[in-house]
Amino acid sequence: MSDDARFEPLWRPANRGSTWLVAAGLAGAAALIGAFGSNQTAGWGFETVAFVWWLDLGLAGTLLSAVLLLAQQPWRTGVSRVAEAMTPFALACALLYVAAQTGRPWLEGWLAPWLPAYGVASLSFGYLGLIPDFATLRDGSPGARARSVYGVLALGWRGSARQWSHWKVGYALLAAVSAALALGAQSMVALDFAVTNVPGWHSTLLPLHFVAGAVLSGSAMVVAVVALLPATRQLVAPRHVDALCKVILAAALTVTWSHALEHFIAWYSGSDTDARLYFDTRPRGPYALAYWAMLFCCSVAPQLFWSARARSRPTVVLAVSVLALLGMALDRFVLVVVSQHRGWLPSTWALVTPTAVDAAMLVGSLSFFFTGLALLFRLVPAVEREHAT
Amino acid sequence: MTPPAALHVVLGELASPRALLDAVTTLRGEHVRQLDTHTPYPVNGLDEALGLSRSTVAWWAFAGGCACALAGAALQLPGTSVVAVALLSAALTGVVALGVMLSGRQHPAFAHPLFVLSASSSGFWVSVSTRIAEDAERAKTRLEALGATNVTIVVEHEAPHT
Repeated sequence: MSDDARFEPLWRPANRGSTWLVAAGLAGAAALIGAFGSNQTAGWGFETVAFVWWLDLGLAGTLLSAVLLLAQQPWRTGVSRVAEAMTPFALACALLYVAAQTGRPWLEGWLAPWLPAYGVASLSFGYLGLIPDFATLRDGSPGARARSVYGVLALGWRGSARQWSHWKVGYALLAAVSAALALGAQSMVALDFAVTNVPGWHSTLLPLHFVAGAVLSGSAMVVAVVALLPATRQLVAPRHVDALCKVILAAALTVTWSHALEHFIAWYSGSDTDARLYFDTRPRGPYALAYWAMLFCCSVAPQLFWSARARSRPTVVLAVSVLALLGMALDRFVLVVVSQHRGWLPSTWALVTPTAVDAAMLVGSLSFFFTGLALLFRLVPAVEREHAT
Repeated sequence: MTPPAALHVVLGELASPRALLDAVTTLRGEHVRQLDTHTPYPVNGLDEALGLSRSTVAWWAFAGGCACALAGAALQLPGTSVVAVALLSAALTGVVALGVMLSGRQHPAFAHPLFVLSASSSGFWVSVSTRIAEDAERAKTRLEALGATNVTIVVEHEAPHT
């Protein structure tokens, strides 16, 4: 084979179609430059904030349901389906942000190898809990088509003693695996931050902070979904919401303790860099409003749940839950953006402001999440059956 | 070759989990074989009353997890990532648990006479299986004597009849 023949494909001129394709791709990429608010100083901008926030919800949903099952809490059945159903939609939103920020989504498997593992385990856990309900729908559906579909999904469930015996063991096992994976995944994301030398990130406290924050935002989102979706509003008993409010309070206290501890460590370590971040940049810097709003939403507002009267008022419960969700988003903002915007070199300091694309992605992902849940609860029961005698 | 006689399943509905447990205990005491129950949720004590052995799902899942961990480690030699193998192993443990649970005896099945009964929603049913028609009639009488209602004989490949 001559050299000319080997090099010939390289010299062959592109056809008109592929030229236009390349041109369109370059034009699209050029249009996206500056679409996100992040910059060279704060490379991890709003997309990372939203990614971590959605990831909290995706991990906390299954974690909450699994831990309540393992702890044999009878009130779990009222909220477990909502918590489990949050997982796939929240993870989809989280993946959207990763793909948008990093590009090359086909390489995400290397970026987050725990994500498919967690997805498989949590979806198996959720599906196993649904099988008896699918059998009920199969036997009660008036239409032949619905009976067929639910019949396939129920996998021949007859509620026999042997089936229940296997089911109980399998369900508990998957709960344990899912909970371990959720804790592991959340800690790994926290350690992604902790291994850097960025002040505010370089802390072994972060895994605990991330898990507590995930439980806080996950519980708050369950309450918000229960209150906002008609399919769940009528089904979940007030005592279930009351118990969830206590979980929110406990998680909020843990997050508050974590914030207090990182301030104490910054003072006790004698590090000027940490002291500047925790006692100057965060409370008095250009993002001071976000910092104080975060403390109010995450630490102060949930204290209302000490009162049984507040826990019994739907408007108060919804308001505090939404504030807690906002607070956790601000917590991630303070962690991600505020820690970065004043780096080691003052000449690199820069502010990060959200763009219309950032806002549109947030609104779009929230819409996707709630629409997905609303559609899902048109097909499956929003409340799990009681499994105890 | 003579085909085996058709399977007769005698079903009776009890009023409560307690009544179901009592009926099962009585029938087991009378050495009735091929006994089963169908309930909308797991009833405590039924496994013991029916004499069921412990579920082996956990052991199969453990074995599956170990096998997957070894396979994952082998895939990554020489630079094995412990974290990746642990996560892979944990996830596949769950998948194996689900697979073994679903592949258990008579499960899955996509058609069954019991699908028309209320066992999946509200009823507490006891069933006696036999291939002898006379035994089925005797079981029906016995179930009625124990307080069961809606006593039905389901014959394999036939519509249920009361």
